[in-house]
Amino acid sequence: MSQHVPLSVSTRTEFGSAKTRRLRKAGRLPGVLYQPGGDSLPFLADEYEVRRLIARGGVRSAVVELTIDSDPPRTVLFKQWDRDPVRDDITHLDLQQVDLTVEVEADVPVILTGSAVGVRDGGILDQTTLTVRVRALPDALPRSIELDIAEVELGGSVHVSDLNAPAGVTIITDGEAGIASIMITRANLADTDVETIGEEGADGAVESDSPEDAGAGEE
Amino acid sequence: MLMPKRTKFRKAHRGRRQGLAKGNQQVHFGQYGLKSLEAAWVTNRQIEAARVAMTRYIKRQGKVWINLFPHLPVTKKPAETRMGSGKGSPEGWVAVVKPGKVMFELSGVDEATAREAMRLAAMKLPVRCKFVIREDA
Repeated sequence: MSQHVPLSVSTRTEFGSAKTRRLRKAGRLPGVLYQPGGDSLPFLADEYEVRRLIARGGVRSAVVELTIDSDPPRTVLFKQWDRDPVRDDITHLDLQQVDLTVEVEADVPVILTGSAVGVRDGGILDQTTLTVRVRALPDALPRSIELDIAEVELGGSVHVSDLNAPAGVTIITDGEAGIASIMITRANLADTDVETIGEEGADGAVESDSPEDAGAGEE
Repeated sequence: MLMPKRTKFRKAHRGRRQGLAKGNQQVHFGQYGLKSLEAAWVTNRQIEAARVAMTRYIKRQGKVWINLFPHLPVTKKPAETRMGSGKGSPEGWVAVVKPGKVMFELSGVDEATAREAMRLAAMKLPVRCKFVIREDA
């Protein structure tokens, strides 16, 4: 469904933590290409280029045309990438080689569109599922699946079954899994019906402001 | 304030705080997060203070997630006590925080409000922190 994204890498010849650290400092990103029925192939990519691709979004379902040194290009999918938890730099990249005639599974982002009625009434939109797993031919993988939530009211939710998959794409994620809901806030509760709902509290949606008794003997 | 309901032992070893956070390195629940850049013990009072600072600033509009729990009992010997005679008595509860841990998460507010709320919360914590936004897939 999309144009292939070009990415050029070089074969990796240096291994070990110290050498890899030096390579990362020089802006090179180590990675591994997994080939069906073949050995995995370690490579070095340009960290800036990979970061730019990932920042564009929807990269998990984008077919990448990978050129290793001067080999003929291969079609691959981004499988996984690791980040440094403090600096947020990308530290490693996994690619999966795919055959364009064989169906693959990939995670596709779900993008919510429209302004929900419930949000206009003061609720909070809580998107719990960011991606759904789909099966399709690599070229048919959508970059994202959109879902209009304009009709969702306060307390309502949307599920995977509400998604409209493009032609040739099968959604594997369980249809009953929730994608997003419009949560009722404490402020809403106070405005609407304090007597009836106030007894049970805010269901933990928003933590209470009042300090609870801390006295319960710290032994 | 947060504390375990029941523990198997009253006193625990202090443990080590080296290395990076093992889990909770990304924002999982909300839209924004507060990530620790240092290792420290965060007391239940500090967690509560940070939560109150945050929820007051957002005026009960958003939703707050606390990804910390003070599982570790800390002990203290009384003032002017000679060394020895065993371990002190439990005085409080702390959560062990390592660099890279997303401690608080927030959603339902705009980014500017979330940044300010997290800044106020970070002022109550004994670690340097940074504001992070959930990485969309």
